[in-house]
Amino acid sequence: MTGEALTDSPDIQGLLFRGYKTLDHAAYGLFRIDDRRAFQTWLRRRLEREEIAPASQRQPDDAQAHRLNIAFTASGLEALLQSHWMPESFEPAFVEGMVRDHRSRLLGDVEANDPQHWRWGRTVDFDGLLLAFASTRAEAEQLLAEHLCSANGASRVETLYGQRAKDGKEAFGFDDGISQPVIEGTKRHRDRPEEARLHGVPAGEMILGYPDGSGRLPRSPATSAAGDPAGHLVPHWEWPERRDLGRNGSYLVFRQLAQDTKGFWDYLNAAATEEGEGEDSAQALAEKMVGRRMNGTSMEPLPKSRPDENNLFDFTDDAQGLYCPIGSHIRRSNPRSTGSETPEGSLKVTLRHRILRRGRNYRDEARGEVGLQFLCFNASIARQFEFIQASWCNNQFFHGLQREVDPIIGTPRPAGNGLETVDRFTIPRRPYRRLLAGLPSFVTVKGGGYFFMPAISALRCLASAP
Amino acid sequence: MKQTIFTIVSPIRSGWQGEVQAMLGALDYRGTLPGDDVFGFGEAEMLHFASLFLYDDPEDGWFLVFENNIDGEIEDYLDRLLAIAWDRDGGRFLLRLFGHCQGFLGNDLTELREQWLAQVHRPAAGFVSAVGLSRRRILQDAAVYRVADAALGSGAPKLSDEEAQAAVFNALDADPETRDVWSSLPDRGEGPGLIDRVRAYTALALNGLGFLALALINLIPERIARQDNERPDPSMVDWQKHYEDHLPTNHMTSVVHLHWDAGRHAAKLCAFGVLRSRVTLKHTGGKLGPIETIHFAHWSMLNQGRRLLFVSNYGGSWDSYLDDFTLKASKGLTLAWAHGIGFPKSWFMVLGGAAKGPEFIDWARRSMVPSLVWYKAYPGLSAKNINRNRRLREALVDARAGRGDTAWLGEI
Repeated sequence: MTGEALTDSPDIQGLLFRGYKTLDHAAYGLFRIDDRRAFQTWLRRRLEREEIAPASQRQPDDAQAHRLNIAFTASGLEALLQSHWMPESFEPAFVEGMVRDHRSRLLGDVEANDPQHWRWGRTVDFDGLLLAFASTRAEAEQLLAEHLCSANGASRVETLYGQRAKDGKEAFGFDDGISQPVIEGTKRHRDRPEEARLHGVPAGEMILGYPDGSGRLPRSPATSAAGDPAGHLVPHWEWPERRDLGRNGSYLVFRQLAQDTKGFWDYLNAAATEEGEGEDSAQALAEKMVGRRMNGTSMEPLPKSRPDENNLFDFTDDAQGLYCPIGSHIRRSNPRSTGSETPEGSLKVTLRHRILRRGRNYRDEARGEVGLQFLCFNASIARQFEFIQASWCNNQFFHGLQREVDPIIGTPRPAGNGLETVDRFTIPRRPYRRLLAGLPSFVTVKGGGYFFMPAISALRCLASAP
Repeated sequence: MKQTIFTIVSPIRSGWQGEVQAMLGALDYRGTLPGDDVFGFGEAEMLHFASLFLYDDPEDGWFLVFENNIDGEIEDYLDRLLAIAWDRDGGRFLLRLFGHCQGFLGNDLTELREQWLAQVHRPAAGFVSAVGLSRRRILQDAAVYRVADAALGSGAPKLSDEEAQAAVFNALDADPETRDVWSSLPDRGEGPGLIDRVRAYTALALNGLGFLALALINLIPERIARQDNERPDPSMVDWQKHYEDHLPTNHMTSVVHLHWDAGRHAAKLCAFGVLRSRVTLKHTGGKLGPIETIHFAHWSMLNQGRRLLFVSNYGGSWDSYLDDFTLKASKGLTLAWAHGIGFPKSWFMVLGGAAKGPEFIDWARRSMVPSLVWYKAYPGLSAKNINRNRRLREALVDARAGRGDTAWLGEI
């Protein structure tokens, strides 16, 4: 299947390829399966009526339109598959869940981000996530209320809301969502060769069932042949006697990230030593921390004026980070052609660690809190999301740095265990660096979980599993 | 300064492995020192990294392995360690621990010294990032960096080159940690001399030719050898991870069972000969090929060459380290590990193998044993930090002597 056909696939859930940009509001319902049979009946009906949106449904243009997608935790799949649940075929991170002592150390979920402070996800008391997208929050909420009810065998544990920012800005005021991987074979990949060079990934990096960056098929979850009596699934490529439950599906990472906008700008205003737009103004320092200008353009001296050209830099002419600091958020999250011996080798490594982001802003009026409902897809949670989070964003030794983590999403730490305080951010300059010290956490994790978003055919299997 | 990597491999008396494991498991060495430094690592001025772990050999029983990465000679280091032990508790802890090992009655430290020396294993191939830099020098360089960094403050308002240089010099002269040491350098020791290089090239040529011939001879057994696709046992992985990521540096210990036919054994010897020569000739600048995160790493043959021990002290998480292996250095890793039983299928003992990401990563995880005790003498420094600090101090020495420019300010 070509990349083009994939993006219009009737088997892949729509959120993988569509941001549902015309639907401003999202409601994310974490639910528990209380009655397996009733839930399967509900799921079967949704599939019969094509209410779980596949990628083949184009972007909604009707103001009344809405979209539903669904994903499950390990406990949800176990509840549905029962004796046909094969945990060893899933990625260990997914089966274990986001909250484990070791994983918390890796992800930076310590100190202010320690799961003991989370509102949800500290213990995985939910089996799945129903994602409703609509024009209004009330409509999205109504969809969850309608579907996640006892008559359908499910109960809602927690509801989270997301909103598409009309101006495309996240809570600190920066343009967001600019850099995304481009699936090989798609029109965008064909039409924009330089973007394809820097951001092009084989489909298997994001969707199971297709070759990944190694040229081989990524590992895929399985169920037994008896678990799929109606034959919705194809034989598994690794275990021919089993069925491929993962094909056309993807692992989904969800983290609720609160953004302390007041703290962010208060810190920068205090650190700034000049007004206006000088290099030591609050805005200039903030842009160095993010690694982009607030309007989304790159930090190059002459940024491109066209928005679609603002993502074509690869840092090869900025090895020292004089434009875009080495420790900035976007450089840590995607170091592009740096970090290894050659630019080509570095880019090859970087492209094995891309994620497809589908997050939305949120505003919690009751708590006076704003932030990001961070959602991303990847074929391997460990190799992609966790690698970025652990080895790049929260690695205090990233590319030769010391005592600093990502100034936006990293977790600062007090001194201890033989280490000095980790709370700095270095802005390379000539003749010597500008240093921001004593950085607090501007972004705090409020909850999170690992999910698997199955293909439509796999949902049919789950809905009819004996 | 010459650095030495070695392990002491001691067979444990039958039935006592639980006691040894419990003794080590009760300690809290996770990179840094616990409150009670029973081994005296903190006082052993020559020591960079050390670890202790057990492995269970299905044919030869349990072994206690004591890994050491040191400055200077083994005998001097062991004497120092035993002297510290004597001062601490009369050596009681070490005597009790190693008293559970075969051939040692646990009577006195002199006897333990002889026992240790008899059980020393030197690497088949090893890598040192900070070649020639003693632990003392690394800590001195780090202090120089710290003081220079503090002297520059936040960088706003910005000082001129000359002002910045003067501020750094003044701070280094004033700080008790740096004032007597920063403007001169201890002897870093010689790199490989001409004779060493000729030897290494000769060994590389001979081993390389031998390996090429043996790669052809071994192709059929290599291709028909079974690849083990089993997923690692989750409870074992959990136990291993319990000891990981307490610092931004980690420790990996792996014991692999090797194919033991004559052809494979000969190929293995040639492969490690090639690796040794390459490290001597090429990998002396702080990097092992494209990997910049390793401090010390080595392979050793154990159990009459039937087992291969790999021990590494590296920066970042285990996942990122294995990612480096598969994406950046798979050929070298395959060269070393292609003779491992169950290793992912390779071609000519160089291609495939470690390049097969998930299979190789699972295989490596299955081969690992937890590092029950692990110590790093400079927990806040990465291999790249150490090399940067070295460059900075060398540039500062030149600057104080009136040589060079102020480009070194960019290192801070």
